[in-house]
Amino acid sequence: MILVGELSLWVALLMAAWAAVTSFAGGTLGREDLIASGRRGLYATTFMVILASVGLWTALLTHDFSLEYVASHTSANMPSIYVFTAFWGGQAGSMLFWALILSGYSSIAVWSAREKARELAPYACGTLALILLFCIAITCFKANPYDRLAFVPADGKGMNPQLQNPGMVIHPPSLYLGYVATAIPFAFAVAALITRQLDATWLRIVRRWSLISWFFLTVGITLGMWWAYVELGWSGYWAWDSVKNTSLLPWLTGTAFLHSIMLQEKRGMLRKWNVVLVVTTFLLAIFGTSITRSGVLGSVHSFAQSPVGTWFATFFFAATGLTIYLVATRLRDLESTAVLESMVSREAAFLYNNLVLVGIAFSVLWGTLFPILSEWVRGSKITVGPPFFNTVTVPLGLLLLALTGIGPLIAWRKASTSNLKRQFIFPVSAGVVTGVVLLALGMRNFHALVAYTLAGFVAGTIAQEFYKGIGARRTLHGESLLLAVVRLVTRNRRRYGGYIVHAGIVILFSAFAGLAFSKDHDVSLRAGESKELTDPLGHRWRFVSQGISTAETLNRFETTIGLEVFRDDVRQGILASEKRQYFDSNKQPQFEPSTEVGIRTSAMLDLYVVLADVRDDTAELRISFNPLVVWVWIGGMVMAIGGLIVMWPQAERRRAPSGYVTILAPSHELVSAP
Amino acid sequence: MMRRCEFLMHAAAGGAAVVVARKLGAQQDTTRPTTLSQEPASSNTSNLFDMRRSGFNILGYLVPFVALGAGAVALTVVLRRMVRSHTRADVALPPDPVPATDAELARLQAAIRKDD
Repeated sequence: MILVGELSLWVALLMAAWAAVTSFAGGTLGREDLIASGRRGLYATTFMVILASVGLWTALLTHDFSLEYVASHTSANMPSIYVFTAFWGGQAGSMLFWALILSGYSSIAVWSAREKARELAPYACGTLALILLFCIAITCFKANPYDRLAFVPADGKGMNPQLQNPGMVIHPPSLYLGYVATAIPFAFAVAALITRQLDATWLRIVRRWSLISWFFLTVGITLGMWWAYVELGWSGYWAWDSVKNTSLLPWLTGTAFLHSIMLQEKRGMLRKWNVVLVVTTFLLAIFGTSITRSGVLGSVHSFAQSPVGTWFATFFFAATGLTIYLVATRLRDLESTAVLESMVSREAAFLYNNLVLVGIAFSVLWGTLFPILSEWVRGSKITVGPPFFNTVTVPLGLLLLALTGIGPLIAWRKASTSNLKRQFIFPVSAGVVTGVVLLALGMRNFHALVAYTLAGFVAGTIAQEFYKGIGARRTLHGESLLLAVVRLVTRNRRRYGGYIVHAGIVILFSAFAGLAFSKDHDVSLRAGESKELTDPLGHRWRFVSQGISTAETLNRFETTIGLEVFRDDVRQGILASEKRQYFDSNKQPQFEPSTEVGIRTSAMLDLYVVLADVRDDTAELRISFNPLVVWVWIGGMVMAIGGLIVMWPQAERRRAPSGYVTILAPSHELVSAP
Repeated sequence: MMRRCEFLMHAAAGGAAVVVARKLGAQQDTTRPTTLSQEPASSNTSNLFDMRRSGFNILGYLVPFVALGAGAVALTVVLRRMVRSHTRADVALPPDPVPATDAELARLQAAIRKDD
């Protein structure tokens, strides 16, 4: 099977090249036979990539250490689940995984568009085959997981301990699924630009795939935060690491696109801007991969650095050049069919929302690239950490939160003063009451106070929208409350699914603001000693050391401290934190010791204990109180659920565009009309 | 047991100390750890916050805000122009009402209610 897999990879390379050439030739010459051949070539490529993947998984699970990849990323004593996930744990495997997802996505997209978008399908197929060709070429020539060693080692090196975490089973695939899905809208945008068929067909396809990408990026980013929190042991979940930043970039521009696409659908506006956003989202995914895998930027994801960055950079510049040319030569076809009627309209609010989202993306990109820029200009690398990113992005994030609440309250086309008053009075009151109550309770942190006030405002907006919708359904159809809620959401999935996403954003921002109140304490404890600390909510905590124990498990030694925990003199249980030293099957140490954090979660506060060091029976600990952290994961889940509701297929209803109104009147009134 | 002790010594004296120091920083109480995104300090590496906010460094902080401000101004100017051009243009007359009998109207309204 391993040999079959290896050969399949090379056949896939040829098939992808065939699919690209025949698809473009078929589209240009209008030859159906070539178009069909290109399509079948893409399906064949997918099949071959699946075989190649099965081959690698077989090699991993059978511990075939003759393959350099297997020997470098696994060992005989690793738990099977991590042997399985080693497929995407290293450079070469992750490139094959990338190709696997892309080929699967491409086949589904081309298959479903072959009738619905006959004009676009060949060019989209050709573009996707080209991207696939690039991925497979990297896998074959630069990062081949089937490369063999000159000798067969008795055991492998094992996997980086930080990757041996349940979060890493789902986090990287989710991010890859999100990253790679950006290629489909890009391919259809390129096809639409080539054919000048920039109508509703490509928009529908692009929107669906953009939602898929957004959904998986949301899940992946949230899981990444969770992994960082439980695994890295620094008491936070977002350290503005360069790899994490680059996963945020396509999410931000993708979110901007999912808002601005509504303007094109409803009003025929922003046609150029939407093409630019679709293309930018894909290019940012490629660009992020390029700079993080090239090793130009440092990262906790140092396992992902390799020479493939140069290939990605070349591909990035080629794709950028091509799309700039296509957009520049089709500007006339991208003219909007409608204009803005008022500055006080939902259209304008959406445009400012787009500006802020793209502004945040630019700021994150700027901070991520600043070390490179400073090295070019001054010869010394200035590293940019959380202080910079927090200074720059917190105000922008709060502005975005405000716009999240403002947008849905303003009418399309033009809002009247009375309409604005009616719409804003409840949400603004909700925000003001929230702020005043928190101020009265003693909250003095400026950013947190603003964040919670705005969160109250946005929550008020969402509540008002649901209240109105439910009320209307109950009046019109006499439905029960529950039925009205269900039908309201299921029959207007885009609108109310979007509000659920906004609710997730409110929860996330509230949780982020909680970080302003976190407290860390460095503590030294011998067995039997205790330490008293006070959390940000004023509760007294007592920690009694149960001593240090050691244990040997499958592939590691564990040094564990147990703490008996009391809150306000009520026993909460035992909390343990570990230091782990991984070893190979010859009991030789591998990697630096890693930390397993002890976490006790509640709705208001996380107790976070890290065993930093052990010296002469004394445990050096960092004990942190992190308020509202659990709401980060809940907020991410709510956003993902909202995204699922929005992207769930719904029968398209025929509706007249809002710009055109047909007035129906009884015929006798027409006769009597002047 | 001996091997375990070796590992503990390794952890205490070697890599662990470096990792812990890097992860937790040397500060006391209520301070955030130094970040993992910051590369280890070397002779030609420095942190943006350790350096004075002047010269090239100030660019790091200013550029995002300047870019966003410029974007906001440009967007406002474009939108205002669009709104003005719309108000100047002849406003199209509302479409003529489509003649319909009472029965047709009732049927349509019933269909709309059903659709809702």
